[in-house]
Amino acid sequence: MTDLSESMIDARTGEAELGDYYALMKPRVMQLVVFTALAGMVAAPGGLHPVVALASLVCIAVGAGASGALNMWWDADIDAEMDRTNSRPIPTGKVTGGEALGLGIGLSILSVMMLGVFANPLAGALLAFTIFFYAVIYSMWLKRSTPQNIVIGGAAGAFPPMIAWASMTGEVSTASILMFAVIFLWTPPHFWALALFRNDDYARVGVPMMPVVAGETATRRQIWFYTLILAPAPIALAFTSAGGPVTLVVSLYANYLMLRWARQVARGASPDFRAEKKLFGTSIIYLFAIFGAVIADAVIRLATGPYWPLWI
Amino acid sequence: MAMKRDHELHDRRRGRNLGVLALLLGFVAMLFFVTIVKLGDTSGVIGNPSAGQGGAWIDGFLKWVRG
Repeated sequence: MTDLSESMIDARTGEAELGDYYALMKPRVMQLVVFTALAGMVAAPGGLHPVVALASLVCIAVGAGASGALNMWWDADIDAEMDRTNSRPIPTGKVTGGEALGLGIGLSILSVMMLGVFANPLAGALLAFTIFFYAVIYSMWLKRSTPQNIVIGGAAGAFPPMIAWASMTGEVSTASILMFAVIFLWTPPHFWALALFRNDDYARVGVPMMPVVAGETATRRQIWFYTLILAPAPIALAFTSAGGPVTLVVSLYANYLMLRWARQVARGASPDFRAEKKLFGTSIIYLFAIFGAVIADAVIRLATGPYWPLWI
Repeated sequence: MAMKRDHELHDRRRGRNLGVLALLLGFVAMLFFVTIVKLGDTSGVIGNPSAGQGGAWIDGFLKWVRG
């Protein structure tokens, strides 16, 4: 007796594991989204029942994952040619483009509707706009057409704490706009530092990253410029209802480190791209430190009551 | 007589199906608990006009049913 499966069914195509679909949702980006959204949620005044807040956080994470799947569907052609991305599920053939598109659209609709019901329509609308912004404005339009792609595309990554804040309070406030500003202004130095030492990948596939189009010198100048205008944002955040002394102290030190390495990068190429790599590493810690500080201030406030005057 | 052992593909499919089942059960549980919370006391809902209205609507509906 023979078993069809042994002889006739070929292994991979169309039979992805659950982990492959998870990889399609860009888990590392989702982690950042969950973390910054959690900070927005914890820091918001008043708020939802913890169960509803948790469900809202899940919706925001799933929405971010859905936009990641749509991005991978659209960018499958260039992902296959870049070292950094050629092991993603579509280029390796584990997941088909159609599946990624279906998953992206399905989870987008589900997450937006659920957030609208769980929290409020404003939060749902903001999530819908974020997914649209990342999938259509950034991935389909800006990424391959302008060296300013990540400057404007960075807005998509900056929305999660604002969505989380809106979930809790039903409104957009100065604090949530400043949390948005921190991530928005942080994105260019972060990605351009990476692009400076991973230049070849982007150049080969024709993505007009700043170092490819405007050259290294202009990129280094722009990194310095964006780091300078980034610096006041977390300091201002410390003086809102979302901030506190921990946010202020952490912001000052994190800014010092960012400015120090951005200055080094602006001065010109360093051996083995040491300064660029340091700036890239510092920028990751920068974001986690500032939003971690916002969470710390919120926890202290929970325990002690209001202890920091509201300035803004 | 037992058939031959499963192909690796069947193992993979089983793993995926069980994963989807777990996700669906998680989704149902999330809807269930959120519903319980929203049907219940809305005093935990502070500063959220929309959710507050939702709770108020359900509260009013229940009062109407009870006559």
